[in-house]
Amino acid sequence: MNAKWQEHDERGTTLALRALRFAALALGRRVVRVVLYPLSLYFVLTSATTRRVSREYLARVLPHPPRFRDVLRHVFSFASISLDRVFLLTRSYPFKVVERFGPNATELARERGALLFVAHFGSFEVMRIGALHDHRLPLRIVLDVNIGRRFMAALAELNPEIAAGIIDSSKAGVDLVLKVREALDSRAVVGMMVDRVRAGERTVEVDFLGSRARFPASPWLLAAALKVPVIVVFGVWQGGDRYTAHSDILTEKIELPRANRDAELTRYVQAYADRLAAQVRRAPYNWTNFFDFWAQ
Amino acid sequence: MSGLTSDERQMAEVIVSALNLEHIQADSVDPAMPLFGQSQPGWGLDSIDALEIVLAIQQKYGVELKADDASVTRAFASLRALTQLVSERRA
Repeated sequence: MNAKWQEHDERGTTLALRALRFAALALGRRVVRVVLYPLSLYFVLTSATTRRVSREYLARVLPHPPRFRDVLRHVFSFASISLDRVFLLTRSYPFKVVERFGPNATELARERGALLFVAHFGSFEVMRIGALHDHRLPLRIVLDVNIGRRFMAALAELNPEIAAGIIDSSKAGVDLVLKVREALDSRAVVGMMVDRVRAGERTVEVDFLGSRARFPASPWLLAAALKVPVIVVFGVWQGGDRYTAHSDILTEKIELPRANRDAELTRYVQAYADRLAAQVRRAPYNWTNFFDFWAQ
Repeated sequence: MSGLTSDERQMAEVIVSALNLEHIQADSVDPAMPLFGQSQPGWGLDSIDALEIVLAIQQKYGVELKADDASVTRAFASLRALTQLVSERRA
């Protein structure tokens, strides 16, 4: 079991967030974006691993064999999305966000609480500025604080309020279930990343973009335990300063009867993987998993 | 003889009936066996079960188990530890 993304994540966080965020906030989005071109080029030229995993990923989703400029565009998108996160978290830039919400998603979350399932694709942060904000639905994020330590430090500086709402998942088990339940009881919606597998974690294998891929089982077990709806959300970067916020009910309730728990679990995860794949094919450069996703 | 105290047997029955477990005999289970994870011998429970147990304990004993409590996390290691915590909290 590897966890290569853990290294990459920290690297990406350091590079795109830590080094740029002071300049970003001081100079503004338009000025700092100019830096992203040479920065992306430098990154593509110096990291053979990034080139390889990007190319392998793009081969799955592009209609033509990926070329160097496709890889460059992919890395540039990643840098751009990472930089925008600084502005989103500090609410210091008026992004144009188009909301594409499925029927009743927000109402359901408001009435019954909900888990928002998120992938490392685009920028989930755009969800905060639309309907959730209007409906005064506080959003709390489940995150392994040990893995995202540097991200947490950056977040604490950029937006202490969001940082304080983070639910630490480093110690999974009973405590996490109880914490999430308490958050839902206090009328928050709870978001969690559901695409990356942590070392030693139980996984579910499904079809995803042309071959088998493994996803973590725990978000689904958690949703089943808490008997809350699962809402899938995608904050997709459309270029420039435009984002689309998608949100849709995946299921109102996850039921995993003991007798065929594994089969049912696979059915839910496959349904999610299909939705994710559809989004990814529509906006392939939003994918920010720069590691061999299919080998995780 | 199973070595279960009567409190432990009662707790085992609460868990077995709350979760509809068929593979566990409440009156002869090893009280030190791990509740969670895939290790054998063990109960083989997962996080769905954890919450069900919390709810069942609340209902049966009136003991509310909360997050951010290290002794709760420890208690979920085994039937024995869980029974101990609940009887302490009831007192």
